[in-house]
Amino acid sequence: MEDLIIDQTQQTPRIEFRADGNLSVRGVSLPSDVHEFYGPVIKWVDGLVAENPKQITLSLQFEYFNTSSSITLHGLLKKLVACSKQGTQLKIIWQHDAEDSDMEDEGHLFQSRLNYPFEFVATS
Amino acid sequence: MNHNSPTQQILEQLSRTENLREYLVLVYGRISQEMIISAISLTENKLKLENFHQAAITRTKIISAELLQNMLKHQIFNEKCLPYFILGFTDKSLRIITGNLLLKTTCDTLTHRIDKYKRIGKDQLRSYYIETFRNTELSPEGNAGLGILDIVFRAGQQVNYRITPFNDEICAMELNIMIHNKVTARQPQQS
Repeated sequence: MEDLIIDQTQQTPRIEFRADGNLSVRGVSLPSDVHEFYGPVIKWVDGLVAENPKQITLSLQFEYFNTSSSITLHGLLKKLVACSKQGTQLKIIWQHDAEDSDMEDEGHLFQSRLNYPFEFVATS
Repeated sequence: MNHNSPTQQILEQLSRTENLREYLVLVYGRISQEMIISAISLTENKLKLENFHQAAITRTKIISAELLQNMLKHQIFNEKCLPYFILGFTDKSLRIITGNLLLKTTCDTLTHRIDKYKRIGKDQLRSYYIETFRNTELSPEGNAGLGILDIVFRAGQQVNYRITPFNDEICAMELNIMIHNKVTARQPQQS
């Protein structure tokens, strides 16, 4: 399985998904066509999950995103949580600006929707 | 919303009715994805210059993005009533005011939802928000119909609207959203 790397643009985040299970999404998520952007990303995750990896670490760090991205990311996270129930060690890291209580709270909202614990990292 | 009004007329009207002390961003005319990205970037820069708290900046950017993308998706273009997006501040809060034409049926749906979300208690709205987002799937077009819930939730229910009939099928909808700065920034809740 090959790594999936997509460069950041003004409206889409940087995707850095490594085949060893280290995944990260960073930046803005405001694509005009959410299916077009996230379609290949979800397909790649399906491929990773099918291999029953020992561990997956997903790091998320957003400047902002829209509701379509939020719902799509929730779907992606659900796939990873389902994988963790089959034995994969899953760690989800939510990074946010230390002074940005709103973005920290976004992580808590995602965590509540998923019923899966996140690790919160405040950056300065 | 003022039909057939140039930008200055809209601003003058809002100055009188909303006590806006200063305008930071004004977008007027046909909405595009590129314009949305520019408007949000401008919003961030202006709020940083005004030393707004980072949480308020994030909240404003997310609400602005949702508003502008919804205006883009549902826009009905008519030279007599161009859409607008205004970010300004009063003595106490940031204010976003948008105006655009919508089908009456869409207007009815939105106003019904806004009224419903404003009636719910804050904690209940949070639970409702989490539950609704948990159980919603995107349409093939990439829509979820949750934009107004997202806006009302993030704005702490400080959302008002004004509807003006335009013709038999279309109306003009103005949204007026208040965003508090640092003092009342939404605090993270442990889940």
